[in-house]
Amino acid sequence: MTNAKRDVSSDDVLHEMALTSEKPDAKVVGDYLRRYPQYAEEITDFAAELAAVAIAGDVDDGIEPSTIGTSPAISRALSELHNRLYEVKQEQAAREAQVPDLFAPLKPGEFRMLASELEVNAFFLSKVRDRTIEPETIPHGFRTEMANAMKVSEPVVAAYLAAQATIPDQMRFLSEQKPEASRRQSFVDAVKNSRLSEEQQRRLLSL
Amino acid sequence: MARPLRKYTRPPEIEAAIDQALALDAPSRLARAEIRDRKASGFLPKEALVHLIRAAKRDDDQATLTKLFTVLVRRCEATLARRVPDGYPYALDIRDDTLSELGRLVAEDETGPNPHRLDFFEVRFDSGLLTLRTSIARKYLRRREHAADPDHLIREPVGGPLGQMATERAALDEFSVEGTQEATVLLKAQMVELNRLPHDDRKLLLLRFGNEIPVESKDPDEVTLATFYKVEGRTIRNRIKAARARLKLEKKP
Repeated sequence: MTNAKRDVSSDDVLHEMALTSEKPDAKVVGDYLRRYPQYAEEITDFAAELAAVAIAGDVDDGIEPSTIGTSPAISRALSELHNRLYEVKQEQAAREAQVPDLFAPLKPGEFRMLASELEVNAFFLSKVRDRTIEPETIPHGFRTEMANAMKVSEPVVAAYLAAQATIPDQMRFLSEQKPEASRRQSFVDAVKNSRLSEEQQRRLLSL
Repeated sequence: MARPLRKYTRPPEIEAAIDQALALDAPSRLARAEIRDRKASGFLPKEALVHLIRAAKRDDDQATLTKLFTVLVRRCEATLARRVPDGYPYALDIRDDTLSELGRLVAEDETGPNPHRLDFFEVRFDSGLLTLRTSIARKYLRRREHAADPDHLIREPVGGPLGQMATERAALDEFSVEGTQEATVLLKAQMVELNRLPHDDRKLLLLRFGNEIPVESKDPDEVTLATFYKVEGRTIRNRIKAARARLKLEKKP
């Protein structure tokens, strides 16, 4: 419990407080200060501003306020968006260039053997290979099993799974439009929708 | 169908607005984003705009991303102009940086150590923007701390116990609602005046009269301004009095 509280970000704390009360009173503020003393300044700043917003209470004429045109501030925000977006893509590409393709060295037949070792079917393993499963939903236990079976460390497996989803080669020539990697699904959904047996599903979901 | 969030649940009306928008083609969606009449059919709240922006970013649809983000920051710019008026310390910097920070959050969405930070913005956008704004304001105020009066929280109190009671009474009178006994609330008009105060004074008065946190309490478990600021109650009362005096000075032409 203590660790969880230490790990929680100030954003999470403030968001939770905003959902608790639109104008936090002494009891609410006191409760948050007791639970998250490390964020005392953030909590009181935010509580005071929530109170200010609640008191100011704009007259709602039913029209969403908005500026028009492109002010210098909006130009700057757009620049920040696009510059950072470019940087993020570069960083991602650099990271992926360093991540080894864990499945490339597998000889014919070894893919199915790996599936068997992991007690999954080839269809499910292809989802893992193509990274169409949301990486943060894949349990640590499954990553560890993969690492053991593939004789690499768990962080290497985690890095592989977190990289960009791939488009299987056989799909590249089937579409008249630019092919896109399919939307990622959660681990639970992947387990439930991969024609796995009941027992296989139970085991995977218990990891 | 709207992509589910990790930690939060969207209000049903936001969920419905997103679902309706997702069923449209891109030009119709953009046209809806421009609607500002909240009662108009197809109006998109900011929370729904964030969802569409994240989807455009995920699909690497730069044109739609730019158009939708521009609509969103225009709305934010108008809100910030109201919330952070020019009299507020570092108003221009805080407003500009808040918008830029929003751009950075969108660019970094679903990457890095906190990949789902924008989830909350699909639930309660204005509170999300407020967290950005208060964090940026704190950054600017820390820069100024050395130049400001660093001892103003520990000024020596003036007068004895009777003087202290009179001090708090006077402070409450300044913020009292005419004709009522309960003087622990702030009025909208007084909020405008408060924005002219230095950050620390403004925060203290908001905590006292906005959040209604008592100066002191006999209950050791109750949070008070004295315990939060780690000073005696009389020091807080003097701070309130000093802030009031500043407000009066500010009012003079």
